[in-house]
Amino acid sequence: MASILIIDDDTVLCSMLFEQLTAAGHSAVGAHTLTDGRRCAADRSFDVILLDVQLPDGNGLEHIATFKRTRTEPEVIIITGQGEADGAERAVRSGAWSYIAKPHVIRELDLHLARALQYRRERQKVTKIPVALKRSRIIGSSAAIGRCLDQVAAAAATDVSVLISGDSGTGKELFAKAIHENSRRSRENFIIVDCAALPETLIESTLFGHVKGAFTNADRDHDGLVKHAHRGTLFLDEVGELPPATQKTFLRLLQEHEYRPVGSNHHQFSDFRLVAATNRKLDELVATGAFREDLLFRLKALTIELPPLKERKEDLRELVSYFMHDLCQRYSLETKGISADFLDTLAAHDWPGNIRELSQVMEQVFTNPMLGPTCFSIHLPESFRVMQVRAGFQQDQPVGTISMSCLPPWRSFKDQYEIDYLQRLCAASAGNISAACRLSGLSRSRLYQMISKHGLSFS
Amino acid sequence: MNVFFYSPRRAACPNDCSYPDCAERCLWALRSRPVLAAVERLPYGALFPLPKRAPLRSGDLIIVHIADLRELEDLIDHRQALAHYRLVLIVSDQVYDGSRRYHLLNPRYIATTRQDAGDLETVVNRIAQQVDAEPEPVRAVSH
Repeated sequence: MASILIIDDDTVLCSMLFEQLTAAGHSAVGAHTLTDGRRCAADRSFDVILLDVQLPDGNGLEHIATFKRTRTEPEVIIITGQGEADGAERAVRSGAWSYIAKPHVIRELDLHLARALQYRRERQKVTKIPVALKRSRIIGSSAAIGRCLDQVAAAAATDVSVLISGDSGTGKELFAKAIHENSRRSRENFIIVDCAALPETLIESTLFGHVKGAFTNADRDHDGLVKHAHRGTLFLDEVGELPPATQKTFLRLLQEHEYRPVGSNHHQFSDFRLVAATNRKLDELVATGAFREDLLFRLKALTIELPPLKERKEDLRELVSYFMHDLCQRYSLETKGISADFLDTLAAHDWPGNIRELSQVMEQVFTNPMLGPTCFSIHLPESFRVMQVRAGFQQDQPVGTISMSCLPPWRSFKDQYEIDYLQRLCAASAGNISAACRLSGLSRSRLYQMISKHGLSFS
Repeated sequence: MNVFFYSPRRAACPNDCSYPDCAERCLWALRSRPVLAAVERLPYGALFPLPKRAPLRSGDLIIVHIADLRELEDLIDHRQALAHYRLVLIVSDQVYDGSRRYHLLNPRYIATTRQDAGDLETVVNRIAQQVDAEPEPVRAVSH
């Protein structure tokens, strides 16, 4: 039976709920203020919290996240006398399990509670996180990377398809490998299918294999990668590059887990777990008809979005240390020191090529014949330092200069600023609308509106 | 991205060697294709450990020729050193059918020694195009 905390300033309702719950075999505790409720939640473990909205010392809706963050991560059911759509929406968005209007609470509570407890039991089975997550070559301890690792742990505990998205060089393959290595399939093969590398003429025989005589040069039977992935993990890298005809073939494979080697009349079965990765926005490809919606639906039972390096610069020091150590080992050199100016120069860069670019820059530092026991910014590639200096110079320049004697009209001055900003934004985001929205904080519709207003091309 | 060829076995065969799993013969066939004509052969043992002046950079593509299971196991022992590169394997039938441990090397593509070099040319070309489409990292060291 469950342990339940009731937080409601209505003492009569509180005692009615208490009796109803204890009669059903649950253990219940009551609190009449948020402060008391928070104290109870911190001191004891609860499975479910019944939370009123209007409390003497605050609004319950504003504290849902606090209650959910307590040790046992209880489910929160909102009970309120003021049933309204906005409040219900806010409760659900804040992570509440459900929302019951007080006039119906006695009648409806059992059903809501039973469902919440059933979900909680299932969730505890599913999100049983491995004691020590294997995260080979995934470096960093920022909150962003921590969230991704939590998702890896959750994915590894299940067998659902995972879609990993992120810009080039963010480490999608490493995360896919981490899911495999932490899953029950880790003793079997991790098979990479580079969808961008395979031409349509090779894709079927590569994936499904072929039998002798299937085509010219097929002088013997040949197993495909899908067979190799049996009981293991099939990793579809760059899945957004799949041509439409091949998408249909993949969809069938994902639905049935059955395939037919080229030239064979017999179907074979493969029990593989699918992880896919892409640097494309598949939703946008679906909208343009370049990617099948049903395939996307199959792929993204669980999604992990990897942050670009510029959004987790707090990991830079750790990453640099890692690459330093790795390069010293690779080239059989003694470990080098890292100066503050070296890190500062790296931190000032935007890293459009992400971790891969950082790794390449570090490699170039190591090939510098002037490198001594410590890395200084002078050891960075000259082209890199020049780019940094120029970027700094550009940042110091005003966007436009106004002569006091010839003040332009406000509207044209504002337009000039907007055009200048959009051009810089386009360059910084490499013409990627989603990245531009992220960088600028503008909504997609607002950005399109501004691009259209100034007749600019964002590509 | 540069493309290299590597074979763990030192081979001194002439170009007209007829042994199907010969690395030298395989390289000759690859170099007969326009896209792969300039493939540079890495010297035997060049990868372990990597000399500081080695031409390889992270992200380069290495076509690795594996003639037998012993060569495969040697490479698997050194897979940490290979993890920085994109690998395309050319394996003998004996290796392809005898072990699936070559997946531990995380290859982007696996061809067999019997396969037409044109297939490999297409795959390498497509990988190169994909890399070219990525954001341009800082290049060209000039100290």
